[in-house]
Amino acid sequence: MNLLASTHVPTEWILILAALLFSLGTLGFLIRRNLIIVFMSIELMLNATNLTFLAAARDRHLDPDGQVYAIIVITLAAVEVAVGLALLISLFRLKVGIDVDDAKELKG
Amino acid sequence: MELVVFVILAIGAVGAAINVVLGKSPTVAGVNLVTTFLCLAGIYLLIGFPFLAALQVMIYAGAIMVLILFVIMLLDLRREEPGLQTISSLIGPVIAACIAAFLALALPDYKVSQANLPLVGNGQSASVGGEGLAESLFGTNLILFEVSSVLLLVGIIGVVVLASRQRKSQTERLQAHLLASEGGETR
Repeated sequence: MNLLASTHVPTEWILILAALLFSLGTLGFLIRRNLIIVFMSIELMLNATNLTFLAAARDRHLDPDGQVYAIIVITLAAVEVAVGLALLISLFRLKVGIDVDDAKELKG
Repeated sequence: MELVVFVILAIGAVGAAINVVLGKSPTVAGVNLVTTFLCLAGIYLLIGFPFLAALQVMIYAGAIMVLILFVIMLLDLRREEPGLQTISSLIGPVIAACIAAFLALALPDYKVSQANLPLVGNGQSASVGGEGLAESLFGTNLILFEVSSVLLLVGIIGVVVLASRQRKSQTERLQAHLLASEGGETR
């Protein structure tokens, strides 16, 4: 892709979008009681981080390091979702709900 | 033109994210999250990272969302979550607003710090998704790559351990349930 054509969108706009998404993710993480939606909020925050990495990488003339970090973050998100959902299912089997409050005792 | 597309995609992403956070049903939230991921993939494509856009679609919108939606359907959620509670419900929005304000305040500093950044290479490393990426991933950041592979391995082992323990506890629960139902008690 042409380097000049790809620098049309101002970096500030991308950063504002990332900040918005991160704040929304934080909000969801803090106010929701459903554990699945809490996980989705974490995904939102990780995506905002990725967007920030890519915006910075684009500012540095498409620095490949930014893309590498974004790939690592994606890997981390995949691992986190797999482990988190396994925990969630075992919590669901152990008790009946997947509310955050259902895991208050933290023992079987 | 690119600005228009960016704004449209950004509005789509933020709107879907609001639906994720404030919506009621987890299934609807999952579908909205897919929308957010796809809009973000479009933005990646727009700002010049086609490889990351492909990864975003494949891994996030594909694998992760399938996993989440699968779990939603497996758990068969019917219970509505209780509404916001009294005092602790205020703390969450306040913290989120604080983080948003902090990010907004940090934004003007970006230009300043950006001026101090050294350019990588000769400033011509426009090989997106090609040799430059491979060189960075398997060269300079090789340790990062290896650590993430160990992380994946640990994650796999952890999930297997969790699943096997869960099966054991499930049989125990079944036995307890049978004992309880013999005593005439229904759940």
